[in-house]
Amino acid sequence: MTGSAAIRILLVDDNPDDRALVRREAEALYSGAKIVEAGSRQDLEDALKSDGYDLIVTDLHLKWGNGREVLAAAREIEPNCAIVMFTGTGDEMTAVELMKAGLDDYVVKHARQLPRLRASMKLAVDNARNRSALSERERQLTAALAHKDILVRELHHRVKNNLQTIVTLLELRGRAKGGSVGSELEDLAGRMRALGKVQSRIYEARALDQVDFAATLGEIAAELVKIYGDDRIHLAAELDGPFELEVSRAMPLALLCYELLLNALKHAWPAGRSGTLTVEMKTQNGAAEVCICDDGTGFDPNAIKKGFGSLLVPALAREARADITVKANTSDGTAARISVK
Amino acid sequence: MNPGLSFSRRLPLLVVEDEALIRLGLVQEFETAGYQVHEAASADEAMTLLQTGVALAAVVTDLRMPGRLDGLGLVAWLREHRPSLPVIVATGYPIDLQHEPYRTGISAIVSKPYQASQIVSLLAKLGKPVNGSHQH
Repeated sequence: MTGSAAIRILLVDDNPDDRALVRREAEALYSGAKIVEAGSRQDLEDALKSDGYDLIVTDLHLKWGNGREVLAAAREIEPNCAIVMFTGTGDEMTAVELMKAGLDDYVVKHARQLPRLRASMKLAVDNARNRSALSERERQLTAALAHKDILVRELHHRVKNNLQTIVTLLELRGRAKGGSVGSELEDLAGRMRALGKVQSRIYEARALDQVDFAATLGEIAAELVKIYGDDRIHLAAELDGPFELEVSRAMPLALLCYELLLNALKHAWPAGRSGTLTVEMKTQNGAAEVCICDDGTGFDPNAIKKGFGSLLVPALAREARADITVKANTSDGTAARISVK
Repeated sequence: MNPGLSFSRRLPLLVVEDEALIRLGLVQEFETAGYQVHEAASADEAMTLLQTGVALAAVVTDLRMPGRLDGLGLVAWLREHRPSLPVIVATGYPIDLQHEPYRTGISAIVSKPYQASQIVSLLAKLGKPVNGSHQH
């Protein structure tokens, strides 16, 4: 249905005089309207097979059927068409029932009601046009949403593939170099994988700028213990999740936790000692307390002041807007507590 | 998971990955671990090799790849024609494990970015009884 084309109207009534009455009102309302009359079931079937209609005006009681059937048949073919019932019979209950079934308006067949019929037809056609416009808009929005979903999926896939390429390059170079340089390159690859863990969670989240950091931390810890734990280190993880965090904070926080975990795994249990790495996260009122503790030999914080980790940790904590305290004790291991508010 | 996987360390692996560098990293890692490796840059290329009837220990494949067939199409073909061949999917594409194509015919799923040695560990486990869980 378009605004500029002639309006198409179908009149269903077995009484020719009543059809003429409605035709006069319709023509007065819409000059140039294309009007089709259906006085019999055959007429109705033929009429519904032809072009679509903008408005159908039907009687309720017909010698060969009833307005309910006309309403149902018309709605099936033309979900957005305006349908008005013009009838001498029926009551309020019937009107309510028919309106629920998709009728636009119900007008009592009487000479006094003719102005009301004209107003009703106009309102019904205007409403139907709005319905059509809304359906079209909804269709466009659904298509745009599907397109956005594909785009997000593709971008997500691209980022992870690029991270994999970086990881591969670092691993290849690390293997070729070997020794302490190789080990540094392996650690860098690990940091990229930690970022990848956050990236993986972005697509799963309801909002694209939030991730569940509890799950991310669990994955990072499990992977690191698998790689560096040599079956000697037991991971005790107790993560009170989900803990939703903005991606802009989750990325540096993931790297920060990675540094602490890696430091523990590399230094806490020297000479093949075994032990337990505890990773806890407690959440309350949108804030989280993370504890990364080892039961190893502990270390002297002054001894590693110039290390790469000690350079990264404060910068990452600042970016994640997290407070960090590290308690190193040569007898009870090391405990790092991170507070995220 | 495929309960009756047959895995022979003496047979070569097939690596299917369209990104040349990532493929190179996998091939080097597998060769260092003592495997012989066939490589393919697309699922179509993998099919050409598979249709020669070559004996393989396992297939490691990406999912999203250009060409007539993607990784999922390759997995479907393997499920029908080489059902006992272990398949490890290594992908950056978001996967819904509830989605039917991912529930059968795949021995393990590894999410990018991964450490190539993670896949070597998985391959080592394929010869042992499976525990039924997917790897991420």
